[in-house]
Amino acid sequence: MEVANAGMYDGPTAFAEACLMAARITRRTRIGVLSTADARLPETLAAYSKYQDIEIIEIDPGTTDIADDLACIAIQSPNFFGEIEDVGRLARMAHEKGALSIVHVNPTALGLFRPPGDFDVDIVTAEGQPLGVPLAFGGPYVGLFACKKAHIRQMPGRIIGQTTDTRGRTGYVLTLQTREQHIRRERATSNICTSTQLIGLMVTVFVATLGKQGMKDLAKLCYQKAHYTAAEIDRLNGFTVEPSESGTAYFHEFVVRCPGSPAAINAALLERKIIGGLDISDRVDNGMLVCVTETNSKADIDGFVAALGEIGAAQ
Amino acid sequence: MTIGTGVGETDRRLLMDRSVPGRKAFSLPESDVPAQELPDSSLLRDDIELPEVSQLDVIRYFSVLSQLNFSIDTNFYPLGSCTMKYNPKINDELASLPGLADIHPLQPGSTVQGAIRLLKNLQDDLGEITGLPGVSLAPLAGAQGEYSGLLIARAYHQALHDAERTVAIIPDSAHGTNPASAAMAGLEVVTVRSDDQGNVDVENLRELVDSRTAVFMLTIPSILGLFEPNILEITKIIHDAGGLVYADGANLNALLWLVKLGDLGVDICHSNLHKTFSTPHGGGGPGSGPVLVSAELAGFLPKPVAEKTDAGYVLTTPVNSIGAINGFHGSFSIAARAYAYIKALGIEGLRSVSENAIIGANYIQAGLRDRYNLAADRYCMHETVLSASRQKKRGVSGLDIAKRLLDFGIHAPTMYFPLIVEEALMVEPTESESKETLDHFIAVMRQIDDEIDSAPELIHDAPHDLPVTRLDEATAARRPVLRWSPDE
Repeated sequence: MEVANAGMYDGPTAFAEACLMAARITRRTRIGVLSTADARLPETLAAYSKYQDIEIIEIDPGTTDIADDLACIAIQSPNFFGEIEDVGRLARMAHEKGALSIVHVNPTALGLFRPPGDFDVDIVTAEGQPLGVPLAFGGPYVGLFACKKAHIRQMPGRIIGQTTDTRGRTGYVLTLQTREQHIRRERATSNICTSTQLIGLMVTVFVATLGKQGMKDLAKLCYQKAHYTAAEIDRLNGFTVEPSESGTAYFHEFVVRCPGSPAAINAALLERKIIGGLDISDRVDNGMLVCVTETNSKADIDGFVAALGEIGAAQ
Repeated sequence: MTIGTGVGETDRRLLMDRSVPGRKAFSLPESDVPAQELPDSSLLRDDIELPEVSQLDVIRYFSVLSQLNFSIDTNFYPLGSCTMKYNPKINDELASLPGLADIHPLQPGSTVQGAIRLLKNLQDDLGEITGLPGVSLAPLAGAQGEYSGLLIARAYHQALHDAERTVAIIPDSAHGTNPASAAMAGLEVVTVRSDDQGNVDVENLRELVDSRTAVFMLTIPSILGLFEPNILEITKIIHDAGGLVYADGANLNALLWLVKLGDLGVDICHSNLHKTFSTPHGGGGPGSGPVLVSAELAGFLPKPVAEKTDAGYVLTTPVNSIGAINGFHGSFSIAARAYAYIKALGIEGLRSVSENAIIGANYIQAGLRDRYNLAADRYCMHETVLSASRQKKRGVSGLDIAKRLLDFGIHAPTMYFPLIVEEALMVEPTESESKETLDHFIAVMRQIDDEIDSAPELIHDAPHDLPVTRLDEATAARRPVLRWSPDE
């Protein structure tokens, strides 16, 4: 993408602000969010847009036609189920109707998969946590926020610009501040006045340390380990790894359909000192969302799969 | 390549400009699982433009960056309304304990009882300190706490079938987030005047309240750092009109265990943990802005709220909750630092924090009042707002003075805020500073005032010894250079 701001609170708030930004740019009030997105994204958007005459429309990822009056199509890719969405097709469809496209990414996946900028996407947001930030029971994290330069005057948050001092030396300033609350007050693009900078610094150090090769290796490691885990689980009696709905690839998360309730299986796993996958039986029958990253060793993975097999057999 | 001028010359190249193909700071281990087939190549990217640098490059780059900064750990930092107090390092260590830093927000409640209990205890302490017992630690910064508070106010009025209340009354001195948050909450902003003593103009307020008043937003103590003598009358006016009183907790450092906001008639407030409770500012975050409400409003709080039940500690969603305002449970590791700070001092020990903050600000005010005008000539609370209006007439602005302070190793006060004070310099020393530091500041401010007549060029050219002189902000905004490119 052409420009990024200095950071938002977290992924979901960055996503919500991106949707509101699209509404301001298009002067439209209906926001399309893909049904495959993490429920936290539209939920946070709902709190952010409650009194702004905004309507949130759920969009099926397979749809081939959208309404003429949407402000944007907001996509999570990889989506809640770990799958890569067809961002190019969805972005084209949005643009044909004068809407913007927003993609909420997992930044780790971008070491391997094509970035949203390849698909003419307008705004990109992300949860920055995977880039070296402690989990810390949910925060503080940092929301990443980037867009096309043409949209910058509607961007929320702090923006850093390069300039020179009176002796011609390079320096940096907060710039384009006339968008912001301390100047524009009730007409500001957002009420945000932090950039979550300490966490942004962690992310910057992490990315600098991994660098070009490391970010590629990291994504590939996550991919390899997750796909190995999925193949091993799929071989267990009673467990199936759900085939990808969109027919495309998945990154490092995938849905396992369990032989019984995921809650019961997770309870049995916990007795073995394993925290299992996320229980998503509210969205997929007996569904468990499993995530595998570079931090999981083959021994850990094999232990997890063996435990699942034993627990499944006892069900 | 040019030869540097010697000691003190720092390498100003960005990381991308130090990049050398193939260089690495860190190598991930080889994959220990059998190779898996990669997806179709049409889905994959070719390359990624990121720095290729050594680990020493990374360490040096960020170490030098840190040395280019003023920070509370290196310099006196009287940035008004920001409460730049010392952040005890032990709190960082505690928050980094693996049992606090390495837990997932969605892991089973039975495996994170300590974390939820910590949140519950902090809720209780903040409720006790403010006299507002309903607490959610979810908001990730003051502005988010404020927005949550306004959503609560709107939800409350709707529950009373009084949805026509859509006006937020805000003093002309207020911080910009107040009207910005009110606008996000769909409220019409009406401004109430301040009188010549910096208090809310009570007569003006009486004229403005009516059946459309949803909420009155007031910073306590005021943005001018002043105790509001009519506070009880003000909250009564609002309540009699059916509105709620929102207190911006930005200045809570003046009130700890001296005044409870709930006792003043406040219904809703937020607290900036990164100010009052000594968690790091981090150059602009992470913040933490818990929202606190009266018992009557507790059912509207954003989720989650920690509770103690017979089955242990749980995170709950209040019955009429305004919902989720972010991804998870708030800035947990910031909450852990604030909790450690409160426990170290004890709730009653917090009183000495505010007393010393107030004494320090008044000491500075007394030491400068013969040279600098005061926004209001009376005792202040934890900060004093000076006006450089006399200096301006002699050719030196508030900005000039702020820049000159940097030459003496003192961070600039908050400038040109509040907007209602000409050439405002808002000074908040906090309780952390010694008498020697306060004396030094007073002496420097008096010297700068002398220099207006004896050596004005010193002030106009300031700062002299920083990594940069004054920066061209106009060009930065007119022709924005916002990301690295090979030619810039």
